[in-house]
Amino acid sequence: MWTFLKKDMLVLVRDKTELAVLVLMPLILTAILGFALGSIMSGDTESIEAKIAVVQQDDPESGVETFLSEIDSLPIPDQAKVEMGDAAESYNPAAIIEEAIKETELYELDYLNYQEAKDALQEEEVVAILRIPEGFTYDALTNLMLENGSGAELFVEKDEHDAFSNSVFEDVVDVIVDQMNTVSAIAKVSGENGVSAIDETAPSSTEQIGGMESVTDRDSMSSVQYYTFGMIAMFALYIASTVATKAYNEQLQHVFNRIILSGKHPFIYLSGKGISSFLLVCLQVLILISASIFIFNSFDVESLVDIAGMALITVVYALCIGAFGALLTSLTMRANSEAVTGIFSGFIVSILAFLGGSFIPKTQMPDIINLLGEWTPNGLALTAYLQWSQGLGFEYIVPSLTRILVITVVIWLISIIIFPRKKVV
Amino acid sequence: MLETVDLKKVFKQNVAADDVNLYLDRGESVGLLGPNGAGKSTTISMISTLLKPTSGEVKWHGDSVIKNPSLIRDVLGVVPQEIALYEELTALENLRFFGKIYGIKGKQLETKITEVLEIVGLTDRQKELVKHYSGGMKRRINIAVALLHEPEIIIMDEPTVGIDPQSRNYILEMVRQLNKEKGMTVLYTSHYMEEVERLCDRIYIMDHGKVIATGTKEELTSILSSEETILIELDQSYPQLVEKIKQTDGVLQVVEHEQEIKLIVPKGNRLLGKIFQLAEQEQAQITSINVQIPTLEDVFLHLTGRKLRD
Ligand SMILES: Nc1ncnc2c1ncn2[C@@H]1O[C@H](COP(=O)(O)OP(=O)(O)O)[C@@H](O)[C@H]1O
Ligand SMILES: [Mg+2]
Repeated sequence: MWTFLKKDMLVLVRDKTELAVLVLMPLILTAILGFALGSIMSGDTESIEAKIAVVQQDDPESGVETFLSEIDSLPIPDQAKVEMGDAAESYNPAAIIEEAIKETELYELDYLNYQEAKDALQEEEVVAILRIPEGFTYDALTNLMLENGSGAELFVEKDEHDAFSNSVFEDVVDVIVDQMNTVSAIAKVSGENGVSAIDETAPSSTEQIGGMESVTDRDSMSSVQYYTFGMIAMFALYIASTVATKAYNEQLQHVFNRIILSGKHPFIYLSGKGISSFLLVCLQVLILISASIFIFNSFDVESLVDIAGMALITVVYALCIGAFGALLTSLTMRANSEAVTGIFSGFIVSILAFLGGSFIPKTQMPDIINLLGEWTPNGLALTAYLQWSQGLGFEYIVPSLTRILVITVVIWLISIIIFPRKKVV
Repeated sequence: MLETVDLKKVFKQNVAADDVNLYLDRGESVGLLGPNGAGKSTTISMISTLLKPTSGEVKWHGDSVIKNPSLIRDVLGVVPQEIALYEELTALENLRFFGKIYGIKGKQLETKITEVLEIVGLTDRQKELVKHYSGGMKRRINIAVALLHEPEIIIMDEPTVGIDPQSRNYILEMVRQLNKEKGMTVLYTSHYMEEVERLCDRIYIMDHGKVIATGTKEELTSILSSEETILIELDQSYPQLVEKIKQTDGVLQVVEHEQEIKLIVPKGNRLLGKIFQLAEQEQAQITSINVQIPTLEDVFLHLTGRKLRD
């Protein structure tokens, strides 16, 4: 198999124009689209600013009081009681939430009662409701500091139409919850160990809240970033047609017969095409992202997790393009004509790229197109890249990746079925 | 050791190979001679398992190759009619790739590559891209690839098409050496009768998908033992003269090519005088006249009424 891959790579490397199309074109387009449409995009970012309804059903003060009277009766050292008490008094969930959301500069808060909030959501005046249920403060404190009870829950209700700002909002809520846990965890540790740590909780907690800025910064993604991923998603598709074209040439040059004569099973050949496409896409993405970083200074790669996520998305997407490579190879050999790859690279790629949001940002396209886009592998890959680069968690990209994998399997099956087993000379 | 039994291939309405029966013994050099479209390549493709016959069998030591293609794949080296190489790769890279897919590895592969490059005389040019090669060099590498896995039988489909006489000579001599010195069994396909005459112990003549004659060169030309060939050269072409000669009693076949006329006539004929007479009537200038021993070309002419090449 390695023999096949090495040969495929060599053949491609010798083809300078093809290489240029696969690597330089996407960079040029990223530059053009990114800078030309940059202003439109930044206008768009501001429009994300939306209202969130906060429904406060809890009475934090009485929650803290109940908690304090409870620890009073506990058989623990007085000093610990004092420290826990201090920590509890400074623990105000509503305040933490408010501060966290303000930091994002994306949302305005509206304090409403539950019914008003529901109406507002219905009217799309707010994009989400964040409800702090009765007893939240008390539950949170007991659970976090005393490890009693089943914990406290925040309730989030969202407007299902606006998937994009929702996912951002969910992320914000995640951070808030983390935030609350961190604060209390530190408080708990200090409660066990002595006084000195308590003072540190305050600075460390503000630092944590400040840390959110990095997350929200990413929300205002630059258009160059957007198009870097858009072009990656699009030009990976060309790899499939390139590989199939090379396969067609192998047939034209009669080397395919030679391969068959050697007794190699035709499916080994087909798998070779799939794997070549896969490797080429991985390589292409690596080059394009690196180039985008160096030329456009478009990303701050902040951690290994960032890279790992990108790598995961790339691998999954590359698997899918591998399947496309095999499919186009099968079709080309079945039809014994270059028309297949011609139609694909000249026509289908553009359509897929359009639907998938490679040209016009998803936020500016009609829902119906976005819906279709969510069934194209490139659209899914783009979504996943965007979500990940905005710092959204693993669980957000899983559905897209799963769908890509399903498409991959289906396409592989089709290509195996239509691959001509016996070549007619 | 290799034989075909009533091998037949029908493409839509076109019968490309029609009940072809041929065999190869170890160490033999066998020629398959026929004009373009005779069905030579089709027959070879079926023997080498690239093409499934409509009916008939290919047998290797009595076992069906159609049922079990792997029987023959290792022992067969096939030099296709077309250049089957990666043009974008160098000769060396091509050899490495094809060697590896035949399962030859490492040192053994390098040794083998050195050896076949030596045989085809391209050791010096091995690092050049195939697309920069001349036609003759491509043909030679095309052959080299088929030799890598030390096949017992080598099948060559018109390996000298479209190249200069020097390369052609080189290839013919190479094939002769492979056969005579290395004991390789050769099935050599061509539409050049000189080539098969020079190389082959036995010859099959094909036309329109059928084997129309077979035997050694001597056996085949003895078909014409009772005939001889007269070659007349004129100063220009005289269609009317050709017509008149055709109508002359005793003339068996007539073929004209520009100012050349070739006749097959019974041995001991008395036709020369008549021909001079006709030429006089047509005011044709005979520049030379030649009575020849029959060649395979003449055999083909005798059998089909057509020339091997047009
Ligand atoms: N794949 C094919 N489909 C249809 N007809 C074919 C095909 N291959 C060959 N033929 C026909 O079969 C006949 C024999 O061709 P071929 O075996 O290539 O002859 P040769 O090698 O002797 O020149 C020709 O008439 C050719 O047109
Ligand atoms: Mg042929």
